[in-house]
Amino acid sequence: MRLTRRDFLKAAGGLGAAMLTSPFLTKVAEALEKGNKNIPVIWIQGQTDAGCSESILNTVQPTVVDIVTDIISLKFHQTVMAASGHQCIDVLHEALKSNEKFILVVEGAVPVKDDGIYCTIGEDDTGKPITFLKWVKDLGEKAMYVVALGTCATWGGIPAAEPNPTGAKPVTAIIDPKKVVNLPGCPARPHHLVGLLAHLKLFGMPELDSKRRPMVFFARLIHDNCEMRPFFEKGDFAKTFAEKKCMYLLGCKGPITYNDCPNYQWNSGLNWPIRGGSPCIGCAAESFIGSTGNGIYMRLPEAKVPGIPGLKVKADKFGTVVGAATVGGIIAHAVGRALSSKKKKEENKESKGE
Amino acid sequence: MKEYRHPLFPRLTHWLHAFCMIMLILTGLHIHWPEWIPMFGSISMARYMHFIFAWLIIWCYAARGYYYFFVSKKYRDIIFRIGDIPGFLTLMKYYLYGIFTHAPKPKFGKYNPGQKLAYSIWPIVFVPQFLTGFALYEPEMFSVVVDWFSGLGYVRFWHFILTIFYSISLMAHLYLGTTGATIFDYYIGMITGYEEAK
Ligand code: HEM
Ligand code: SF4
Repeated sequence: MRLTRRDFLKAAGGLGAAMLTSPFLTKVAEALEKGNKNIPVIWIQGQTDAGCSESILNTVQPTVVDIVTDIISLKFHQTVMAASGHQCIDVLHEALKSNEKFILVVEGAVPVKDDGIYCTIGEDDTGKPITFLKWVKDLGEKAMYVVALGTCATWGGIPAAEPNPTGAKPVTAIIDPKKVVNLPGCPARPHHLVGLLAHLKLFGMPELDSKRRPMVFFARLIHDNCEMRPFFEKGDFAKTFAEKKCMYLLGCKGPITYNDCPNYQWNSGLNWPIRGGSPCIGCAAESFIGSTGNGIYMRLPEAKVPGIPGLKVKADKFGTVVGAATVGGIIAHAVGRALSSKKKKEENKESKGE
Repeated sequence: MKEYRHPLFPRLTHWLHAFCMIMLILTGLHIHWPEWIPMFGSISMARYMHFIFAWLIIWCYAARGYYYFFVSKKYRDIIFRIGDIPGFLTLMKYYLYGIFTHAPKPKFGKYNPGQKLAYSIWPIVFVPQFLTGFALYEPEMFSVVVDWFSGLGYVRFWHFILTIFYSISLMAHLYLGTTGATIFDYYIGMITGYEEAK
């Protein structure tokens, strides 16, 4: 089945492409009609729970079949490919040898400790396991573009949480960041990957922010477009979950998280966490989970002091304790001064009395 | 006998600075603890006032800097240097001990080393405070700053921690203001310009 112009424009709604400008849509539609060759994609998974794959497989419009048959040509994907054993690993070896251009999708973080032995894919001729680290380096070097899919690939995510026993690193720490596009999110959002792949295929690199995320998806904070924002502005906060108000006090990370959830929701626009009564957990933020320290339901701006492992300063507590200590110190000092002046006066009186 | 110690310009900018600082701390605390300290009505109001005073204090700092370096050229009065450390220790000894035994107050230049330290640190700490503040205000425009602090979560964290620093040093400043010839001597001096002669 070929994706026609009409199909595409229909699908654009499901992709949340309304945010993309319409001249762009027309161009995409035209380009798809011209029938560009499908772009080969190699998708490797490291330290991941395959949740990002799961999320992308759930894309409804266009269906995953449309994507695989019309936009890309998926050469390798550990969890969905039918082949196994050598048949499957040979695809990777061939990709390294051939001159065919491809896009590399990396899902999951890359463990680098002990030469990366904590995550391997296949073996070499001598039967030695090949590390994920090596695959990312080698394939990354050959690839035209590299997509770091999901929070683990973008920031390190859960595998990089303290104490990070495997030395998990984001993709940009392994290969030349200039090639990489980051699509953070736990999981990554289907329309981000589909949109990005279509853009890479048709127009090349999209406009990125300083963290190499496509501006079209990550230009605004959740908090900027949140439907609970009027409650935030008024200071009307939910005290319990599922109260339909701003969930700032329940630990909402909307104010520090870039993503487009408020615009397009999840499950094809059905719902999204905040409408469902759960605060944003900041799954696409740099500070998600242990990687740099904000607990899911911890109030902002609580964080660990970076650089000092294990030292967790709850900003609120710190403020209260230091403030109270200062007030206490001042009161003690003032009382001391008052008492000593009184004593001095009495002494003066006594000396006069003599 | 009273002596004239504080010219008009430093007195005016001192109170402007004080007012801005207090308003910034209060509006900031409203933003931080909206459930405890909602004194400005709504968060939008608190944020709005926070920015107004942020801009005011920036110009106030600029004006004061210009005054001390180019008009009065008395910046040596307020800059803390290595050589001030022994004096600082003497002063601390006085505050923690001598003041209770009514020992004579150690004599220094126009400002004592403790004051010099405070008046030098405040503008320095103000730099990260205002950078993190602007990063929270316009995170896209100041994405470089956000990167330095590795994410908006930390930007906010440090903005708050620095606020705590300001709050406690302000409390200390207000309290030490009562250690003049009389409890209100220094306060009156900052208003009229005249203080008891030393
Ligand atoms: C100099 C320029 C400053 C700017 C542009 C600025 C800007 C901001 C912004 C945008 C926020 C809102 C955070 C948010 O809603 O996400 C904020 C919060 C805050 N500001 Fe400032 N600020 C400045 C200076 C100060 C100063 C001097 C203080 C106090 C000494 C201060 C104390 C606070 C506090 C306590 C918060 C609450 C942060 C939290 O949630 O913990 N700010 N500021
Ligand atoms: S629920 Fe979260 S994102 Fe929405 S307005 Fe409140 S703090 Fe912001």
